[in-house]
Amino acid sequence: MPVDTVAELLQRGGGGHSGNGAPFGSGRGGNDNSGTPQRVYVTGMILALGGILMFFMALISAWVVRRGFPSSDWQPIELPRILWLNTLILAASSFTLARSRRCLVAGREADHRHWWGVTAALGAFFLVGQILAWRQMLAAGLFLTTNPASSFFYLFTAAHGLHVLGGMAALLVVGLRSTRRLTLETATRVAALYWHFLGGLWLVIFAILVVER
Amino acid sequence: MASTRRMAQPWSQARPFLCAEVGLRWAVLAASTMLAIGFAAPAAVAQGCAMCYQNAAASGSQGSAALRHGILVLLIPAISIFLGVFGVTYHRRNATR
Repeated sequence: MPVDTVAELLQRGGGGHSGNGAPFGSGRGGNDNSGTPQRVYVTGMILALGGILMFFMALISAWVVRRGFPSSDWQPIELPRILWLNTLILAASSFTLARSRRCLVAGREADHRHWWGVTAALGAFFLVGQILAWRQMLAAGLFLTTNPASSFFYLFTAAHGLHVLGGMAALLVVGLRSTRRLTLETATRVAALYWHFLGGLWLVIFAILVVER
Repeated sequence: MASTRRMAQPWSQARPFLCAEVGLRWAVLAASTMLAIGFAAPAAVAQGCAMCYQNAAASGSQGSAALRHGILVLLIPAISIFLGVFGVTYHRRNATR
């Protein structure tokens, strides 16, 4: 998955990178109206991702301990097949987002908007797919309290889905050009960082759910 | 008096003093943090919780292994984040705005 590395993001900092850095509400330079360097937003996002990562790691740790404890109530569940399709959709959205960023850097504004919209649409498809997966689980008689495995399934997918919903909001805000302090380059970089992170996170969660079977 | 003399000095001469001052500040901060951690350690009574200990001990080897793995899952990303932040900070220690 094409994830910008932390070092690369920090090294590039704010405003000094080539490409279309057309601002939303302020000059394209390194600072916004309040004098805040653009790289601060990237650093803030990286720190937020650290917090989100630890939140999910806490859930995964609880899953590891609960699954490993000798008890008879843990029963592996059959995953809905649509989860495979959802995984493909989310992975594809990462590629389309990377392509959108490349178009922005190359100065192709129309292509950038097109691929940005495709990414948002794929994100919406992913969320719809997750809801369908839930419906299939419910139809199979696997509810939140059926057994610990099903509880963790709902917990993982709900927590991740809420974060994807936040990512969708970010994509829409950037797509509608309604941020005031960030340059377009910084806004797309921050949103892309978050989106790629969610994609990688879902791969980990999905791998756990598959291994659990 | 001393501050007036310091202000009268050119920046190139005043810098070593400032560096030493910053170093001293960091040393005091680090020592204070260590002391705070040291004094807070006895308050970590959860580690001595008899019920938790009995529960973990009664879970057998399989339960102990699960606990160890769970701790590792929490430990590895936390240490990675710490090392990452430390590495970036060290790498950019001379960077200016």
